[in-house]
Amino acid sequence: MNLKEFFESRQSFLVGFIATLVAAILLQLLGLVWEYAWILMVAAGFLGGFLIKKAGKAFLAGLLGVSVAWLIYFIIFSFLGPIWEFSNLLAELFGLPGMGIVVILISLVLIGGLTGGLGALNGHFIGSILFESGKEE
Amino acid sequence: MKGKIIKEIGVCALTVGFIVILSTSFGIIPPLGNFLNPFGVWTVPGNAKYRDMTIIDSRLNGPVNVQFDNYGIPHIHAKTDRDLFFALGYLHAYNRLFEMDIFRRAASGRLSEILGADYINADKYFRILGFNRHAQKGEAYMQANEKYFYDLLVSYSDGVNKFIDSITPWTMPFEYKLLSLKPTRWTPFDTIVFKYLQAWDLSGDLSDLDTTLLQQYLPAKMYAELYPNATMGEPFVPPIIHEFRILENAAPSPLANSIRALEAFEENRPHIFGTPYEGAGSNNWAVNGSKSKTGNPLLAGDPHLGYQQPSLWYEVQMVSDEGYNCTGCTFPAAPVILIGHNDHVAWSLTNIGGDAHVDFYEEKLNKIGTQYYFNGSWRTLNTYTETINVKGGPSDSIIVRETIHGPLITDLVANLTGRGFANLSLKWTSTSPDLKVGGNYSNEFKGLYLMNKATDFTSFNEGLRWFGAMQNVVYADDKGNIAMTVSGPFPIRKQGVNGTADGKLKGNIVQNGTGIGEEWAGFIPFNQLPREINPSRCWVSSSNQLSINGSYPYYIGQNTFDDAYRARRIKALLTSKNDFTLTDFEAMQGDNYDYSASQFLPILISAWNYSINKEHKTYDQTVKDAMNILYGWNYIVDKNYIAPTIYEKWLEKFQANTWDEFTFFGAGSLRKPMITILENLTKFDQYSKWFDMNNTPAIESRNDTMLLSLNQTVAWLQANYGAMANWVWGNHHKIYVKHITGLRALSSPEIPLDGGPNLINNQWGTGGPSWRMVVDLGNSNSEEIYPGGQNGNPMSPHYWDLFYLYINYQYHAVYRTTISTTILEATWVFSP
Repeated sequence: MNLKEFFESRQSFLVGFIATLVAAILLQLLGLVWEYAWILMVAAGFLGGFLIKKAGKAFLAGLLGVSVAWLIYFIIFSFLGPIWEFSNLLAELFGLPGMGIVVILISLVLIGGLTGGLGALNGHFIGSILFESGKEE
Repeated sequence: MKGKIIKEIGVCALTVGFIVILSTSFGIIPPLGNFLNPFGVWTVPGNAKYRDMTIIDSRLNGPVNVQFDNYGIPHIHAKTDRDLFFALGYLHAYNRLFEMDIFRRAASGRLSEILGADYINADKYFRILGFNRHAQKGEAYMQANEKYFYDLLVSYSDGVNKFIDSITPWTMPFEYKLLSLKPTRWTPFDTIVFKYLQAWDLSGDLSDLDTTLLQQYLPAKMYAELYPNATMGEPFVPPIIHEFRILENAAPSPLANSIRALEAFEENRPHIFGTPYEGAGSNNWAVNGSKSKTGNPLLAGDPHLGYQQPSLWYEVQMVSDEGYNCTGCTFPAAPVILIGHNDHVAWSLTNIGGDAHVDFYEEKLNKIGTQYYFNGSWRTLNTYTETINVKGGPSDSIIVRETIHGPLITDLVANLTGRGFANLSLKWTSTSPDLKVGGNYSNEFKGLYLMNKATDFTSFNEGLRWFGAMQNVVYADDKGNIAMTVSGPFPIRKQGVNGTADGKLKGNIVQNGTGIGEEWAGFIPFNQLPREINPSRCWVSSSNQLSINGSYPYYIGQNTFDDAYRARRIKALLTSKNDFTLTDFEAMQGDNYDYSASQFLPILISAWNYSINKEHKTYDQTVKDAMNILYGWNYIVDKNYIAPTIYEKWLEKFQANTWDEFTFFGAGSLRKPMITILENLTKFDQYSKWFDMNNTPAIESRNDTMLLSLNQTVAWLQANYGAMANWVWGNHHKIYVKHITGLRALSSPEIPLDGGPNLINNQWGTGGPSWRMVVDLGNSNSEEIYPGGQNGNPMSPHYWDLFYLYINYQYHAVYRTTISTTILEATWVFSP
């Protein structure tokens, strides 16, 4: 199967989601030494989106893939310190007292998820341009 | 195909735009992508606990062991002092790096670089004072002449930088993530420049300015009576007050205009240590073995400063094989213990009062402002151009002009030119070239280092002589000695303590700068500074009251802020028994007895009784209820009581009504006579004309004004607090420890608190006893506390733990030997 055949066979949301998730977990690790590593979530989403034929599914896979990857980090970090209490402190800083969960959702979905989702859309369209010439979804 | 390309271009543009927005800070909002990703701010809780670790650095001479106890207080054991300072530098940075950064930037006038245009006036203020210029000279001096101590500062800086260099996005302190900043490396210069900031906070007294205004407006005799040179302390000596004159509007002089403008600038500029409060002060005292249960000297100290979070203080035990074994509080930014004890000596500090170290001179300039006239000739002003970089805006600059006395402080206010204003220079001991104590610079560090290692009074004084801040220093040692000494280089003013032949003090008003004013004639020799050793009464104390009596030959300042009620209360307590324990001393530090109320209220009650029983006057029921509450009050300022609220407001009204003449000539902002002056008037001259209120046709006596003030008090409380049940002291008197960024989420909750102004427990909400320490010198047993916590990480268990002990009058034990495993939180090993 050449690349074009592979691309045209892409259908699986799950594959794109898992690819985004794994890439996001690995790439985000660079955050240990580079504060802009979160931008690489575009690349993680791109990878997942590249593997999905429908734009909507691609976006969703990118969004969920990065969100879940970040959620995994949050869960790990919660064993290292009081991250849920900290979310409430941040909420207070942002003028949302008692709404720490909102700050966490903003982090996961609006920052991570949208970055991954936009990356996935890019992946999807680039894939379509390269391998689906003449065919519109 | 074309459609897909267009879509991709659109999505790509959207993605780029989204990333750019998330990477950009908007005002105080940090770049949200950097901030809210998992390795952004969310790593902060993971760094909240101390964990065992090893830090390798080849510059160390040997291993350094650091044990954190259950309050996060480090106990550092090193082979050499240099290694000790290296470890302390690392600890300061690990726990308080942002605070240190703010301190050094404030001192060198560089806050605007990171905090924006709001701080330009603070930066201009310190650039004109010139701490940055003086610190550069100070560093050069230390390098050339104090190599041993300079190397210790280098070692401390190496420790700070060891942490800074190790910072990753994972370990970046919270404040830097929040403000999207990067810390820069630390140098000995930063510690030296911080010294000036702290010294200025303690001694940068501007009272000469309003004293000058008072002397301009008030007839000489009236001024002398209302503002005596000496504050009344112990013994309480009431002055005679008989001068009274209705004050009239006076034409504002150029000098007055300049003073007003400077005072307005000072009031409105950003204050790093918080705006000073008139009731601020400090306490310290000691008893010898004959007055303690253990037979050992006991010592207590509680400096009163503005609260901040992270605290001004970082507590530590420093031990080295080179004779260091000291416990106490350090400033993050400086590697020595300011107040503390070792196995032999203990000490604590209180500020000596106002006006000892700062003088102002009215300078005569040529028309183009390039020269000044001094001693018969025109001299060229030194000038420095200071550029202030501003975050998010254009840079600003200020030209500093300097005479032989010091910088022209009036240049702070840009429009002070022309005939309507005077040019004032500021002379301060710490930056004056007159100061030759050890060569001008950085002597506090050397002094405290020697004090930290002192073993007796002689070696303690070898350190104290280098200490540049004017302080009352209480001392006790394991050989049974107690003492109260005064530190600091005090300029000699020719008039002495009692003024010139005409009774005038010149050190406390703006001087003529042309050479005919009061120029400094050297400094009081160290061995002639006020000192009391092992007095026969077996105790010593200071609470910012006068440190000297009338026989002392030198002028060492005019106390302008302390009413001596704390001193009188401390004396009453210290003379009440002869078997004091540390627990007694702790109770004393939390003493809420209002001594001023015990002096005023019996007179108010007497006036009330006379009014009701003899004059048959009638009062509203609420006024009667308020009086009943005062009648039954035990003078304890308890947060659950209503009486303190009534009394404090009444005293404020009584002062305002008595001194109402001051408001009739536009001098409402002038410093009013101290409460002790009013006490004296109230006790001894009930028909003084000062009691008569100018805005009423009747002629009021003391009793009339006291009761009128009571009516006004009740009306005010009803209007502002509602029903009497809401007048409870704790409803309106709350402790609030503000974070250094001003962010409320990082600050303490507002918590009702006992205590109040002029009490030993001198709480004024945003400040008060910032550190409490009690020490038994026989066994080196001590307890300490401060309203904060060791770790600046807001998620640390040590961010507020000491604060919550503090507000409940609790202390923590100080561990001087091995830390038991039950309280050992973590161990760090620094290894070469």
